[in-house]
Amino acid sequence: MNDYLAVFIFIVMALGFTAAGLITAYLVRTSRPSLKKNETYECGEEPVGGAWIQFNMRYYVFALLFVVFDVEAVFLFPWAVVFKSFGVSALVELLVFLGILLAGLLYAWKKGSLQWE
Amino acid sequence: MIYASQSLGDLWNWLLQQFAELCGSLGIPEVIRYMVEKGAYAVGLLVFISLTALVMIYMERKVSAHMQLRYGPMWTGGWHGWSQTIADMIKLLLKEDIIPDKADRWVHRIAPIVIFVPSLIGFLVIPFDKYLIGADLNVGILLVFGFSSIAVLSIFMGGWASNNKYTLLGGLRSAAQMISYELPLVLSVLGVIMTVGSLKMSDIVMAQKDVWFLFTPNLLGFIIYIIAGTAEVNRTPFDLPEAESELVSGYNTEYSGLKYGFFMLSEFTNTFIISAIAATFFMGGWNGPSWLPGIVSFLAKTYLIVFLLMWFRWTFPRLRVDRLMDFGWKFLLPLSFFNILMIAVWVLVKK
Amino acid sequence: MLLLLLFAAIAIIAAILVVSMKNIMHCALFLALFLLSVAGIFFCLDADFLGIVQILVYVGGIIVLILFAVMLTSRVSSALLEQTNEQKGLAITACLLLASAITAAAFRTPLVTSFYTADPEGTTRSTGELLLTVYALPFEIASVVLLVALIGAIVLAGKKGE
Repeated sequence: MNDYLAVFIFIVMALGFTAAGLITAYLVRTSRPSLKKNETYECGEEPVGGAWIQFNMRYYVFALLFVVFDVEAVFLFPWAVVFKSFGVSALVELLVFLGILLAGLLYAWKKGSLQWE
Repeated sequence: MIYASQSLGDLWNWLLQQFAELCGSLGIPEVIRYMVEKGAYAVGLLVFISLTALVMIYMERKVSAHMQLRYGPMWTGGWHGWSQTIADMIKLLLKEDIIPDKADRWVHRIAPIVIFVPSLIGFLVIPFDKYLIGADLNVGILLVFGFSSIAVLSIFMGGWASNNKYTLLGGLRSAAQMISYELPLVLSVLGVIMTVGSLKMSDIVMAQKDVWFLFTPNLLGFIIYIIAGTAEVNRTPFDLPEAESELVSGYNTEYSGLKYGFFMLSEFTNTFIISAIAATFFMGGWNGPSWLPGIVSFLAKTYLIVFLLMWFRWTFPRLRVDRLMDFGWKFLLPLSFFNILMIAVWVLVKK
Repeated sequence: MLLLLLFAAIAIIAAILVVSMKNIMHCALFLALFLLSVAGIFFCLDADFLGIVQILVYVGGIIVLILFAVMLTSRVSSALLEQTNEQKGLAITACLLLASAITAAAFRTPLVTSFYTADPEGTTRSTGELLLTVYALPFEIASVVLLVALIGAIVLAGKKGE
């Protein structure tokens, strides 16, 4: 028996729960749409321009940094599980692995990439 | 047979055994039995989640009120305003659903459905009691982190689909903040995993039979976890994505009715999950005095953390965006690397 | 087995939608669905660690990265894109070559239907053991690759000031 069937069942149950809730709400709620009501909210002013515009580069840079360290964290999980049985040799491997990455973090820091300006 | 009815976990285990015997005698295939079991557990969790949300909203109101030297709901809704939150839920159900004309209708509709899935999956691996766990999976904690990254996607979807400047800014900020603090969050539990040598929730709880990890060098991991966890669920002082003074309500500004309700619900369930994992990883989970049922000590610990998070809200002012990023990348991230090295040395020395 | 087929079907439909949707943001979201169903396929094959990594890194990291990248492209997120361009013929040839290479490789490899290990820890522990013994060197090289990616990101970031 694959234990991950439970995950699938839970996903189906969650989708069912939200769908059932929304359908119930659809049946009982009022609906009186009007032009002004369906306008984009901008604190009561007439909305100026759309929102789908070009965004700042810095979000992208942080996402890139995140992906790098996320992959690194993923490598550390199986390492952590077997760490106790391997002992010192595992620690040495970690030091090399982390050392290289920490050098990268330090470089990013010095270059000012971690700065949110 | 069930005797003395030690705890809810034992009761559930007993029910499972009875059901398995029944299925065996009726010749029902194991797959069907498994699906019925998990389905029943999921229904139980859904009821529990709804009740927890009610309790937490009421608690949030009362705790906030008393920290500000006021009473909170008192006169409406009976004794100490207990039925106020229930009335709020009914109101959310009856409210009109507004989708702005300029919005992306389908993405706008799907976002609140998507955000609830990771919340329920998170509950799947939380060990409430000895036998009270949805599935004791091998990847355990990673499942929670993996699916919580889907929540980032959903918040972004909600913010983008509304086609509103506030929601888009809120969604982007939220995504940037959540990915930045996910790293310290994921790395902070590594210390515990190294000490235990397993990702399974049950193993982690069992390893704390004698001493909670809170009272070992893992304390540093706990502190990192709580800070990063607060940021991960967008609670004050890290609530920039919904900073009401600048972004109205953040990514869910254009949502109303039950769709808004789901965003709010998952915010509370995520707070609960973060607290429950803190209780499991650092405070011994359902371990406790033998006269107390496991689920009671587990919920007590979880609500202690929930209270701590609420306490934070009225203690710390909101951070500025650049300081928020600085704190995450230049302080918490190096600190969690240091934590891993420290725990590694500690484990080796102890051995 | 049934679930495996279901996930495969979702993956294929999502993949077709990724390349055929007109709104680039919808493409990105279907890509997320596609990656999730690939994770589902991994779980069906008992590769539990790989499946969760797929969700954690691809859905949680890469998709967010792509969404931010879409936000960078000015006005594209609201515009409807052309589905084809002049390089149609070249693209079809490249795709056919790639498809035949993959098919050839698939027929030469013995198909694994399960990565099930008797180990109660699933595939996580065996992955860790391999990382520390047989694949110790690739493990360290992976960090160098990550470092290169990091420096690349910084160089990209540095450009914005100019």
